[in-house]
Amino acid sequence: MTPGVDASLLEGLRAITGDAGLISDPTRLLSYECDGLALLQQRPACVVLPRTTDECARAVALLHRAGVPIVGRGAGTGLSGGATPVAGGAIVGLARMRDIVALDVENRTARVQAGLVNVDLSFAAEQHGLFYAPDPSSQHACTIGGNIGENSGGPHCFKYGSTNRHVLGLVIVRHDGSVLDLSRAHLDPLGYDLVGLFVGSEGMFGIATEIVVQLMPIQPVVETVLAIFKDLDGACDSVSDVIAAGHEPVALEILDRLTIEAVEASVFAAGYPRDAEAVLLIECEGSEAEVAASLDEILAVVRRRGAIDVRRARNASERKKLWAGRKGAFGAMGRIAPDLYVADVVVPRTKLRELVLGSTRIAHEHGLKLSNVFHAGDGNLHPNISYDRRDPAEVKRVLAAGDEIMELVVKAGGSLTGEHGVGLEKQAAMTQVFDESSLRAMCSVRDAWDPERRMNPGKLIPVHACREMRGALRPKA
Amino acid sequence: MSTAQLESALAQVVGREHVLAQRTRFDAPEAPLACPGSVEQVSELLKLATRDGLRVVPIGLGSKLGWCGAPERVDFLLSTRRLVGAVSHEPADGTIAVRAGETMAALGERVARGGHRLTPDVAHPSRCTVGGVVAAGQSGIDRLRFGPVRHHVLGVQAVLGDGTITRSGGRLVKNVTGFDLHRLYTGSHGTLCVLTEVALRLFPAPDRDAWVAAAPRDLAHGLDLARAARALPLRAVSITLTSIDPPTGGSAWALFARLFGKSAAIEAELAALRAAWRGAAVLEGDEARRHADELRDATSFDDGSHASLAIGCEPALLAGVLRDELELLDAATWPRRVAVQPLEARIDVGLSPHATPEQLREFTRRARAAAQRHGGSAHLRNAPLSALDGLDPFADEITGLELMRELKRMLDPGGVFARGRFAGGL
Repeated sequence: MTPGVDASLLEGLRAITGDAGLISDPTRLLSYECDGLALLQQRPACVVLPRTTDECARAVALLHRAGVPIVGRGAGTGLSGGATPVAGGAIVGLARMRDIVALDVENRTARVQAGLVNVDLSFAAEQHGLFYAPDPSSQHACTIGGNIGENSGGPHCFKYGSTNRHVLGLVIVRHDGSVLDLSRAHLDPLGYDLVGLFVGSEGMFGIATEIVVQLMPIQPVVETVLAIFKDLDGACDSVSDVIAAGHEPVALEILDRLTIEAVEASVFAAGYPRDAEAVLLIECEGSEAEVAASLDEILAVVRRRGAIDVRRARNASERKKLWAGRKGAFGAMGRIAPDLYVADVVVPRTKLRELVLGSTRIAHEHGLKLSNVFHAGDGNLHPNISYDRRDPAEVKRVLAAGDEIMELVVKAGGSLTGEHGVGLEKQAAMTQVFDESSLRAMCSVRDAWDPERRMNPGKLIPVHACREMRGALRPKA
Repeated sequence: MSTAQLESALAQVVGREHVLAQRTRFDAPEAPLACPGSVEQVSELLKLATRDGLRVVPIGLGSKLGWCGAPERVDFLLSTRRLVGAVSHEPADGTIAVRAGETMAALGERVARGGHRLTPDVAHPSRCTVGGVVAAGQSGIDRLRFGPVRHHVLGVQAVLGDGTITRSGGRLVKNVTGFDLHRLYTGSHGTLCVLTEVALRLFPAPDRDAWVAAAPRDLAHGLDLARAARALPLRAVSITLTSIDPPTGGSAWALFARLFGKSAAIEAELAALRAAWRGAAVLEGDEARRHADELRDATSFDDGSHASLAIGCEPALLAGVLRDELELLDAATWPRRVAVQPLEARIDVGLSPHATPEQLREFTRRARAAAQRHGGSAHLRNAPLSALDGLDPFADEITGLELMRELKRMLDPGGVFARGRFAGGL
């Protein structure tokens, strides 16, 4: 049990949230041991599930007074261990804060509680001709609050940008339970851009409980095309050429052969040709003329780069099916092996081919099976390694390969993470990207928000103490 | 330290010829201006300031000093104007990293050679540097299409008050590695660091550039036309409603839109907009660009000679704010020098060049109160310092000010970057 978490604290928390808002039973706590990074696990002492900002603030104040570490958690779909409570303590989960507080059609904004599932916002906005642009592959499960923590992306962020571009205001419960209301949207920040700074801070600055986001108008014409390739290089080179030529499709996504096989054998089967080495999913939207002009030129590029066929979705149903394959790809990988390690790195878009090849080579050198499905337009690669966590030797090889892929990417001018955060997994690798001075500046900013460093401790910043924590974690085997 | 001693110490770092005597808008005494030629020299200057307890105001060319208040104290100004040139430019990747002292005009030409167009499209681009624009959080007239400048800063090199050279972000279009300190620095007006390098996302240069001018009957009609454009399938770069460049024929307002992109798309967008804005005139190519640049400069009211107000509010409440601001102008018997970006709910008001400091202060208080009634804010720019007596040029109340002070204390514990200029006295 984490120091400070005793019967009296639990009773105090229960008084705030009610029975439904507190979990302390060890069996039920098992589901909170990790997020999507199942390799590293640590059980929290308790889980608090507030229903409102006020409940959240009072619970955090109580935990603060007891000196208990606090980890905010959306749906736990992150892939970097960001929601894993490495120091024990309490998880403050947002699962019961799912309301759309206001949907302002004229101003094209929405105010939502942080536990709202991402896709539910677009469902609600659709009847008004609007949508919420960030669309992570896990959007049917992940929460807007979790997206704030990680500055999440998604296929359509190629054109519309990641979460940070769409957040206008926040209500934040700070480390001591005080509430900072930055939800009044201004054209530009008054004073320092606290909202912009908070998005992507991985739960280390506080817990966002309410969020004001901008909504986008649904475009009149959407065209989705599947370009089919006999080799992965052609698909990668197509993307580099499309970008170099100045086109602005909404999404450019690549799936390689192994991924295609897994998708087509799963419930997400999208009709991708099983004999293709790669497919490139292209989506353009806008006015009829804009889409027609762009798409013709883009298709000329992909044909030049060796696409053997292009298939246009003829209606919304076919489009949905093509996307279901892409968004269900991670789930479909379960057919290859029991476990999946999803790397999340970003490379310069001129080096896609080189780094996809490099990642594949590294996996093969470690005797691992690697598949690729990625946001090619942003250079955001997801090399996926299928493995079996019951095999400790294989787990070691997976971690080693993951580290080598990160190193390769950073050396080529890339970055550790594009949308899932540094969290626990990439903490040590931060020194490859930032020198000590830069990390110290980040530490200073964190200390301004949370001087006692109890909000999601042991993440992102590679301090000595944090490395020790990682060493103490229990690898699942 | 005497002025002579200070100038000598600065000269030891940057060379005698790069220490200038520059008169600023701050009250006497004049502060020397040091122009370092490298990031290492920036660092040395700040170490010197830390060691000797000096207060520094970082600038590019100083064009945004008028956006801020007076510092409590300043010993020298540090200009990045000698830090020019690209650090890395990858046209095929759509990114550029450039030294902070490059002017926006030079940077615009540089990225154009790679087939791109620079955003933000700011007024008077030869008079401001990219570092200054980012430090001021200055968005361009193209914000409607491309968004505010803070969305396009991919990363920075920043020197902290103690001379520490740091980085945040990177040079990639998508990247969430580490805290986004570059978001914090963008718009912080040099109160947290000196930006020495900036990486920006670039956008493709358009095939076709079109300029559409309409003559609404009156203000309400102008706002209606702008709303009509919002409902059309087009992605305008800018839509501006202004009283300073009215067409002949008696209307007091003119409405302009800029469109650019692929040629076929622009053809369709022009057809849609012409149908909505009956009788609108269209210009293309160089003529379109010239008109767009002229209007951008004229409606910024930011040539430093006169005070102006930059007002923002909720888009749905724009008409109410605008009505109130015009009534205030009329009551003061000041000319209506107003430019509105209706789809972003942004109003720029050029204030009377003949107004006294007291009149400017009083007008700002009333205009700000009117904006606040509609959820908005009002930033007074380029007013004489005497107009700022008891008036924060940015806002009356800043939410999260204590946290902002703590951020400043943590990043600049020596208080090297002069206080008192930014919102809330930061």
